[in-house]
Amino acid sequence: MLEEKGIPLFRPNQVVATADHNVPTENQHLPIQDALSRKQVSQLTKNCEEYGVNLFGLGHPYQGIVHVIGPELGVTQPGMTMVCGDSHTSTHGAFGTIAFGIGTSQVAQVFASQCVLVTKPKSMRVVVSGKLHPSVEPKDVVLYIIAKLGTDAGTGYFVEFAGNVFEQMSMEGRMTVCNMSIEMGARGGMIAPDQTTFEYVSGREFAPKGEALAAKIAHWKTLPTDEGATFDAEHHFDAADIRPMITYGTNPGMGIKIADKIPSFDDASFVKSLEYMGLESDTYLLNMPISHVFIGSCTNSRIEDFRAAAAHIKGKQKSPDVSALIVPGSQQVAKQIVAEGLDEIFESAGFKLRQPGCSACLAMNDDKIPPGAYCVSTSNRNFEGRQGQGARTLLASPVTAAAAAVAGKIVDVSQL
Amino acid sequence: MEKFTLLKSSMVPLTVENVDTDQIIPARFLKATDRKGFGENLFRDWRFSTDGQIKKEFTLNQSQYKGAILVAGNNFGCGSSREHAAWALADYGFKVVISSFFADIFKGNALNNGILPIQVSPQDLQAIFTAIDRDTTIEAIVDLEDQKLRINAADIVVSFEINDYKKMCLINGYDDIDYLISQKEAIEAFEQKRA
Repeated sequence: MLEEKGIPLFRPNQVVATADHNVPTENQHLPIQDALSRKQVSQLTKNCEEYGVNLFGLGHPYQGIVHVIGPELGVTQPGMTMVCGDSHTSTHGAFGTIAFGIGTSQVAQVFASQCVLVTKPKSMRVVVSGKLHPSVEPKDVVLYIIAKLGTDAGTGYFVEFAGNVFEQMSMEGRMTVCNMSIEMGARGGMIAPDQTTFEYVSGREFAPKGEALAAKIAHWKTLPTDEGATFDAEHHFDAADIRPMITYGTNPGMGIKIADKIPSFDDASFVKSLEYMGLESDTYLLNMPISHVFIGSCTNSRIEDFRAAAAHIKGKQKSPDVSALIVPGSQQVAKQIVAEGLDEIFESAGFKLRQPGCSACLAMNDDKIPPGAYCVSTSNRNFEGRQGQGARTLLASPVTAAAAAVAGKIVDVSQL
Repeated sequence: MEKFTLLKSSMVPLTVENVDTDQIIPARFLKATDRKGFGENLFRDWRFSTDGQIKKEFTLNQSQYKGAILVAGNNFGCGSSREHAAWALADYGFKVVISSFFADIFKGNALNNGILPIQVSPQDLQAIFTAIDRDTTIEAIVDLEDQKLRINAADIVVSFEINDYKKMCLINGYDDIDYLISQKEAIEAFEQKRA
């Protein structure tokens, strides 16, 4: 688009690139088998070289899913405005950044001008306060919120997640929550930067150092919402009501506490959804056999996710009826998995540990779930065919997914 | 971008709600390096079964439904930011999508590709579905200048909202890059202030 118009990149040093969506998760040292993917990746490499963009491509020690590497490299910092041609850019809001997904034409606008034209969004605050049940993970919190509010409740809004639950959450947990803002329709989600944020950013590769860091932190402390600020919409939830969650339908708002029954609605789209899933209203998902488990994606592929999964898996074997895939979010996460010996836990339990990428979250590479198969997945979307044509996705946390792989069926980790 | 002023066309109904961009264009078809040819795979998995058989019950496979206007259920275009969804609709021949609610990113992508998203009330949406149900050839007139959707044979007249700037872009076939480039001085001044 820009070449046609003869427009150069305006600020190449403010652009970062990686290869994630379409990359294979096996044999990344070899040329990509899929011709179209290979062409896409080589075009990206060529363009980045030509225009002076920093690329963390295949084979680079920093390669990985953009929403994993941005934070882990310290590229993501509080107060920034960040955009990417991916709707889960909302992830970076965990740092108190304005971060949102854009389409290709808007990517071109940013390349041309470092600006993007947007309508000012409305503001929403979602407050979760109280004490979480020990079995509840950040993924359960966000699935709970989306189940309560619905898949379009946030459309037109940016959402601030507030309350002691998020204040006490790790940065990785906050990223999981903000990641799924878009699943309730909100382009952006954010959490106020605090000491947890500053400690996470400090010392990372591209983060400011020394005095520059101190000056930045002083500025970052001014970013949180003013006391008494009003929002266009506000929702409050009691943390104690949240339990491990799972979805039963074909949008992320169709979620229930894992021990609850699938609800019943007299609505054609709801009926169509259950038909696709091969499920019935007023029945339980608990104890239902599943054949696939995927632990990965920009929602849940950071080291804490794999530690939590490994803690459950350790000393156990996956069910012989389940194919279980573990896909780290980045080369650095993959390295850490090995450093902590988690790879041995996964492999001796029969899980397949792969190389970093988006993988079975959207089935753009070879990691696909077969038609009709049920997959407990830590990804973000349970849309029809998302994980492969006819595949049936049940979204859940890494621990719930690990437990399902071991048991060969849906289990309630709050009862273990 | 092609100019958009007035469109007269019959409509294609898609009553499903929460149509996500993975349905509009599945991810496996995104591996392209230009934006042409996506229409072939528009709604691929609703049009064809896994073994390539035509699914006769799907609206695009029913010969009585034709036209450049897609009428869809609530919350159309939710999910991913892939602009390919807009490219696929445009490549297939749709110029207007009518729904009672659009996802944000899709709406922007549509406008940037000369597709007009028209948001109507749930009641009006139902009335339009009913009108198509009664007469599949019924025509709608979309007047962007006037911001009116008219289905004369069914006595439906609906005013719709559109951002003035985006309206100007559609009518003239402009895109945002030209505008942003013209603001270069202001952008640089802002950068200086923030440095």
